[in-house]
Amino acid sequence: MIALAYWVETIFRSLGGLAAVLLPAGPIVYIFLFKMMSFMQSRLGPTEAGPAGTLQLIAEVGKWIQKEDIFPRKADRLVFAAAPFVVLASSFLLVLVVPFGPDAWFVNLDTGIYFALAVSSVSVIGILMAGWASASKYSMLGGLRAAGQLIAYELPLVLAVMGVVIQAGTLNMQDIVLAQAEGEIFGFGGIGNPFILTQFLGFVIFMIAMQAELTQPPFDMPVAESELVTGYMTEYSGIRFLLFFIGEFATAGIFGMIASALFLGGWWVPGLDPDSNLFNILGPGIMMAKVMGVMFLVFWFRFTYPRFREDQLQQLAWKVLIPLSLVNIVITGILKVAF
Amino acid sequence: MIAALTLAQEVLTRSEFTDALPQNIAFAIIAGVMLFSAFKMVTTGNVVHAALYLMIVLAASAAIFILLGSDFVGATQILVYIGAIIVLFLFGIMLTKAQLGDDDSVSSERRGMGALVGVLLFVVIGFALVDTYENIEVEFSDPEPIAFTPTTADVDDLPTPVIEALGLEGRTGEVEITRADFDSLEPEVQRRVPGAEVFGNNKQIADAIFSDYIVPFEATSVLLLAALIGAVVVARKE
Repeated sequence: MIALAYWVETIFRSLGGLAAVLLPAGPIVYIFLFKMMSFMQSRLGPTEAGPAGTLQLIAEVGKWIQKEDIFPRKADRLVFAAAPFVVLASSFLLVLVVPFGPDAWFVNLDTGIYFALAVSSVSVIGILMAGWASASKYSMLGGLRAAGQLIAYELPLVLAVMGVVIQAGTLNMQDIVLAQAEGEIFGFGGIGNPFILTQFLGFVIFMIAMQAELTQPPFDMPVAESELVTGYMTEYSGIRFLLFFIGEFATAGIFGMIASALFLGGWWVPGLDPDSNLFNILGPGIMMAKVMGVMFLVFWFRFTYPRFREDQLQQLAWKVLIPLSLVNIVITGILKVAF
Repeated sequence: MIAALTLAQEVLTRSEFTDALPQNIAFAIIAGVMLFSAFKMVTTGNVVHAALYLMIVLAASAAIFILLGSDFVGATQILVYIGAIIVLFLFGIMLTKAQLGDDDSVSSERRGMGALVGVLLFVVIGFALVDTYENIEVEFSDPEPIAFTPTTADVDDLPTPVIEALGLEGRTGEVEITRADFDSLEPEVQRRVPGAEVFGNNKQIADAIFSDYIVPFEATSVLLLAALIGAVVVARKE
């Protein structure tokens, strides 16, 4: 082990956090939003910029940076300017507790997943700020719809995680991954115990709630373009719109990381010793592969289903997902005590 | 002026300060942001701005909890105050009247009285804190004590770091792990030994809530349930 000074370590951690937030966003947008969406809609998608359109995203980012950063005349300038940063700050706080290997983590918080679920709710504030400060009724309605939806789906998200926490016996993300690596299903420990097998109901609820938290279609009432233009983002342009856009897909990537750490075994793959040093190098790659798998599901549903109506959306959360996740907690608790 | 500088120099060179320099600097930044936001919250002329400044104050207090190593309380602070209460404030304000710009009805003539109450509260709390802790050395207990009961385990089931640290490579079958073995290990290996139980912050809080404070805890739950049902009854007019 190399001992580094506190400040050097902090700088390395900050750079690592920046990479962990921003790096997955690019491939997610290119592979899923550009190519997979085009395939499912029987068109080609970007082809001109770079081989198979791989540089399209860089071209888009360049375009947005060049555009004028417009503030509406009646807008509350300070709040309007700060809103995208609040949304992005929530993503950066989320990535803190994600483990990438046996020793590769930013912070090994004892509270792990609880902290992650707490900070994920900060993005609601950013969205409400954007909706209010834009001084536009489309933005306002979009902001309120977003807040209502995010509050409703936060509950099933938290309750779905409870099952995993009960089974692993810890809130620490690293220990949850280790519990899956060292666990066994009814005495068979060959593939460990990825919680997707024993917590399948929890996984399904988590994925649905995650889709809603990310406001991806079919849960995109807050940005319904046929009614609200783009909801809370309507008045944004240039670099601030880009920040919202990055925030959306970076948060998607980080939620993918959390889902894979909770249900798919995180940085661990069956057949290898979870303590081997190899995982400190391979871990981030394994994580990325699992994130891409989770993202494939998210975008598959995104491009397949039409948008929910507001009342259907609320009913799904309160009348279906929350009771189901409570049942899941009760069953997991009984089985935990019984075995 | 010179007295203030000498005092600052004296404080900055004390061992209590230099031993935890990064923490002290972080605390100073957080406290500064918190004080500024608290002041702006009561002086701003816009309701939404006041709610947002209050959010910064609450976030800073969560940051101080995390800085003190009490991340459960910090996360709860964020979840309850920022994730729920501030969102509810903003939601309520925006659903009713959320005008942009300064609102004359917000600033009140009774500011003088408010300031007086604030100063009095500060003096009372400050005096109580100084009077209580003036001569007490704060003892730092081990934040994560690890309990251990001697046990036997199959070598194949032991995690690799434990095997390496105890020199069990090549052994098979059951081995006995004694107290002396356990004490010879590093803390991060200790927590992986079968029979070891880490009493981290969360476990300590959970232990306290579900044993010593079970009655107040359950009473609070019933109270919240009553409030919830009451809210539904009031909101549903039939």
